[in-house]
Amino acid sequence: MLVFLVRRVALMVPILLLVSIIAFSLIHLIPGDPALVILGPEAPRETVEALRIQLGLDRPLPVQYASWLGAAVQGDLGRSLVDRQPVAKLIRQRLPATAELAVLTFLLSILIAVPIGIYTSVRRGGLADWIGSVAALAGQSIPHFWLGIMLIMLFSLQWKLLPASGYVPLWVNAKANLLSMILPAFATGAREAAVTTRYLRASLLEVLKQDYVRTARAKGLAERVVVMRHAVRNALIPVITSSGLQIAALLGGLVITETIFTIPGFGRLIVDAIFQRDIPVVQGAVLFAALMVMCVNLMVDVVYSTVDPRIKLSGGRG
Amino acid sequence: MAQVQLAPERMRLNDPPESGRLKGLWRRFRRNKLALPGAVIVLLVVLAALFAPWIAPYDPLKQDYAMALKPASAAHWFGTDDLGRDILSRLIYGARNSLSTGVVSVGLALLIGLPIGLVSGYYRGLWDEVVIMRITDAFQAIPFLILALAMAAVLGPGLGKAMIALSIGFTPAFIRMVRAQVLSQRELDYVQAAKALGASDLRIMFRHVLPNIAGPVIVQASLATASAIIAEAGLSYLGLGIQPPAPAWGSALRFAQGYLTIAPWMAYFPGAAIFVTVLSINLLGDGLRDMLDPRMKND
Repeated sequence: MLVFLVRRVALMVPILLLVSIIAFSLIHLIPGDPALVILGPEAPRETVEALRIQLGLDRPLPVQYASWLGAAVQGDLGRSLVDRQPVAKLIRQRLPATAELAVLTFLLSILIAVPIGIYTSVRRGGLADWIGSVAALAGQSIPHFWLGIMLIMLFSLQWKLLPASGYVPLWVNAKANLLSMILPAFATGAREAAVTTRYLRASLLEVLKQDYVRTARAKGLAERVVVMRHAVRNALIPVITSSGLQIAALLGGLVITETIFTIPGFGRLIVDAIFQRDIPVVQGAVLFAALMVMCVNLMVDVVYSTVDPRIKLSGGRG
Repeated sequence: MAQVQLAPERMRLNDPPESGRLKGLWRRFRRNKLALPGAVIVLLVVLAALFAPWIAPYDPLKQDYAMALKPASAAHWFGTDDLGRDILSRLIYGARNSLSTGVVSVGLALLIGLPIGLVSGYYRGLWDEVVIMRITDAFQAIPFLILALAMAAVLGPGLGKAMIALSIGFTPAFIRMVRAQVLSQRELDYVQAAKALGASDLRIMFRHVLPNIAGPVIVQASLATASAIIAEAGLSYLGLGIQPPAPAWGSALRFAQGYLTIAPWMAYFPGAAIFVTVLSINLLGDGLRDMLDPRMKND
């Protein structure tokens, strides 16, 4: 396991370096003088010059990158141009809300997808399969920000069951926190559930054709046992991989969800930074988002290797 | 005389397999019962976008404060917005922006991703595995929408810039997909035969391999177009896509959010337009997949 982990982490290093180049390059993609664009054409010359020095733009490009990367490795992602706070601190402050929403969204999507995926594949070709498949395709096509707005209209404005906004931290009031998270988690999770349903159905249909399933049936096991104990466990393996791949899409989706439901999370931080042209925050957020995606993928690989005994950890997937 | 007789003979020999192939493809497409309705709706949206000036009942930019926030009526089928503009007309014109963003951003991504994926998969080697694949890994590690938002932050808001931002997000996926397809083709007999006959690498890649991987590429492009339309609507919703007063489905939803209690129709229709269009493209994409790449079929 240790060899596997070391090898896998070592593989992450060059990719993270490349991500750091992408994040660092963002400021240099701004057309014209970045300091002038950030401050606006009306800004006094001295202020623009001061910002250029603060951002290190007066130094040669390789020196700028080396200095930025050196600081980033030590957890220093620079300071926000707006409130002068360290970017790492801003991310740390916003992370709990996003992490909670991501976990809830993931759990909700699994809760929806697994029963539907199993039911539609067992009833393949029937009405339930057709409805489930169309619903999954619809879930994949629905813009989650529209779904979020529709949920607010129905559950908050019309029936007054759940709050439309107003995030309360979990450690302050657990009940209020969960109530405020239901609609955002459902709005984002519907798409994830749809994708997982489609993956699980396809995977389970494949597994149900396998010889060992036929053997289990021939042994006289009840269909429920065949499906739940023998088929589903194996069918879930590719679903775990797909869930890992979906984490990037989920994080992207949360950016808009947090804006709709005014949740002070990581996504909201990015959106605010973009509107304020707070480039150090955008750079830090891009780097951090990529790091999160890569860490989740690493976790998925570990889970995948543990669940599927055919995979030898020391040799990676095989 | 002999030549005159030969030509129809050739046609007779060639025609049945070609028409048979087309019939086979059509049969596979039709077997997916939702593909045709999807294709018809996509066609209707495209026609509405193309002929917007003739179809739209009102000027999408014309403000009429006396008619502000009116619900659906015979005069305004989808009601009016806070500035008294006809929502249906704005949706019809908005289809132009949404569809063009989807098509152009995916087209740009294909333009860059297809040749890189072809060359990378065909030649393989250190350049492919160490440079190209790691760069795509890096881009794919950054969540697509966050990358598009970051690009929009540096490039500034606007339709053209949103297209560029989205195409940058899509390109790595196309590179990887094309490369994987080329890897599965490069060892096949027909490629070896073309090599043995002395065909140049460029000719093999573009004349022989490309037509054989076109199916999965078309399928991926159609599904990516659906994602691009949602992503563009997301950028517009956040205020980073098409800028007002130009009509856009995403920004219409943003403005609707301020009037949910008094004019909910402002939110119903733009979202429904995105949903129906994306669903239809996905249905069409599923049909194309069953038709062109049956190995990828779900069941």
